[in-house]
Amino acid sequence: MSADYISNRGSKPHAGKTKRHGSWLAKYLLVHKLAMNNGFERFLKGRLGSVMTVFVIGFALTLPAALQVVVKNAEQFAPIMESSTQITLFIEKDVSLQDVTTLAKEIKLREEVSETSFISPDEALKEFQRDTEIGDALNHLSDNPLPPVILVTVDSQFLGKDNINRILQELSMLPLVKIAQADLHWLERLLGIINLIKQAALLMTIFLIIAVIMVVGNTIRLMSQSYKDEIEISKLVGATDGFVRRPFIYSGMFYGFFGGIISIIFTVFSTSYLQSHVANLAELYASSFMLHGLSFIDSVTLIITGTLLGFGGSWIAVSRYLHELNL
Amino acid sequence: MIQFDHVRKKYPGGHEALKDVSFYLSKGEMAFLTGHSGAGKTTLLKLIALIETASSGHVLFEQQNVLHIPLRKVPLLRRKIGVIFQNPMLLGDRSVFQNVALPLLVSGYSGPEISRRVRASLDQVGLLSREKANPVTLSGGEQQRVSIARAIVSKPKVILADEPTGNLDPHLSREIMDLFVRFNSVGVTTLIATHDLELIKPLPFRHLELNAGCMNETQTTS
Ligand SMILES: Nc1ncnc2c1ncn2[C@@H]1O[C@H](COP(=O)(O)OP(=O)(O)O)[C@@H](O)[C@H]1O
Ligand SMILES: [Mg+2]
Repeated sequence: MSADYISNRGSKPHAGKTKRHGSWLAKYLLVHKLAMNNGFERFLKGRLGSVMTVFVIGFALTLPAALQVVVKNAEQFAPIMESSTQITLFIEKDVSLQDVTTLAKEIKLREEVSETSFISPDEALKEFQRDTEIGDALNHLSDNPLPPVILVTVDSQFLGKDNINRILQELSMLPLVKIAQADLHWLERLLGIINLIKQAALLMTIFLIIAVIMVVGNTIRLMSQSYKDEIEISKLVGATDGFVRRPFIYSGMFYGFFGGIISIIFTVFSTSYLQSHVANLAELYASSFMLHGLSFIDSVTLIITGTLLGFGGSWIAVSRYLHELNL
Repeated sequence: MIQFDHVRKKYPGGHEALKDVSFYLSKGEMAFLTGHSGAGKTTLLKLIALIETASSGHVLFEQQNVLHIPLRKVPLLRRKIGVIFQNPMLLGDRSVFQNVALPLLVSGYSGPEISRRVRASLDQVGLLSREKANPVTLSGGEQQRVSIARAIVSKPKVILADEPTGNLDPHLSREIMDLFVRFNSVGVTTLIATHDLELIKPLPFRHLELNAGCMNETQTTS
């Protein structure tokens, strides 16, 4: 090779490149493939530090994801509770048992009622004594103070507060019925709690998004400091900021990506843990109730969110670092 | 090719490294930048590659004021310049080959083109057999030659060398200087900062002498 090698401008960079890679797109893809490999290498070089960062991101993403699951399930609960709404009818005290049984049968014939059951004062007293401590005190009363009660189960076709209120009013107008009661307040309370959890989840999601960006940013910042020489030399031989930034951004995206996967595992794990507890609860209501875990879409969303946050965090960190380096 | 016009450079600390520098280096020319330590040689070279920016005056590269180059185009300027720094600035976690390949990677070359050019470049500095070696296992002179190979690998129009023979023995220094003469002979504009006047005395090139930040350009062409 002679000295004129260096003056051989026959193949200028651009001419050579277009010939070799064919198209702009192919070149673009190649550049990104190299940066991605490089980013993954740097991610692996982080070893324990990388693992810890991934887990921190995983935990951080699990909290909002789990809350999301809770909200989704609680919302699923609401209509079941509405449909199983019971109305308690307190009957006038001195009515004969027979009249009350007849009344219960009559009420059951109504189309919006699926079931009625009758609790006589004696049964009510026994139950009361069994369940409470003041039961003993009642023993000393000569007279049973409890009224007969008819429990009315509203058919599931008649959901909703308006329906319940209407039925309630109709039943309370019946002769012999002293008071008709449906506990709708706890339904409202449930909806209130769900709403509260939703708000908390939103707030927490915002905080945790910031936290994830900061965790990734900090990790990438430390990483870029450890590549200081390489960054400096690269820039001095003509690297663009983009060229320097790219591998770090891919590293950041790998942190986010694996963090997202970890959070899916955590969420699935905690949901299945809760499943057994919820199963008991579900039995009390309708058999149709099932705990919904993370859906496929949710999982994909988690991974994408993690990856995007990794992108954001690393972008900020490397850009700031390059700005400080000022080369 | 390179022109300085009443250039002044004041560092943030307040030190005025260059006070008033004017000179012109034409295309394909070779010159030595001389002056005692602290005269401002490194600073002057840094202004050309935009590693530092002038406080006042004009630095022109190919007739263009380098200060008017937008930030995102600075890399393109640097790709036209091969810089050899005072210390070799090699990456210890990479092979000689990978170190030399860096400027090509940075400007988007790939695969076979990189191999071809890196080998040709290493061959130029006589280190083809050491391409797989780690730079830290090389001697000072060899390291300096690797950094020269890296500077020429992308076939730059201009070579700037900052005391490339700084800590080498006279024999090695002469070899390195011969390399630069060879590059220049094929048309590469070359500016070499040095304070080794003995070494450059027999060479027929202009001396640009910096004196405490001032340049009294002596137009003594060969
Ligand atoms: N980054 C810097 N900040 C402040 N002063 C500097 C910096 N770099 C160089 N100097 C000062 O500028 C002067 C010229 O330095 P330099 O250009 O390195 O000279 P030379 O290369 O001729 O030895 C010296 O006095 C040095 O201390
Ligand atoms: Mg110097």
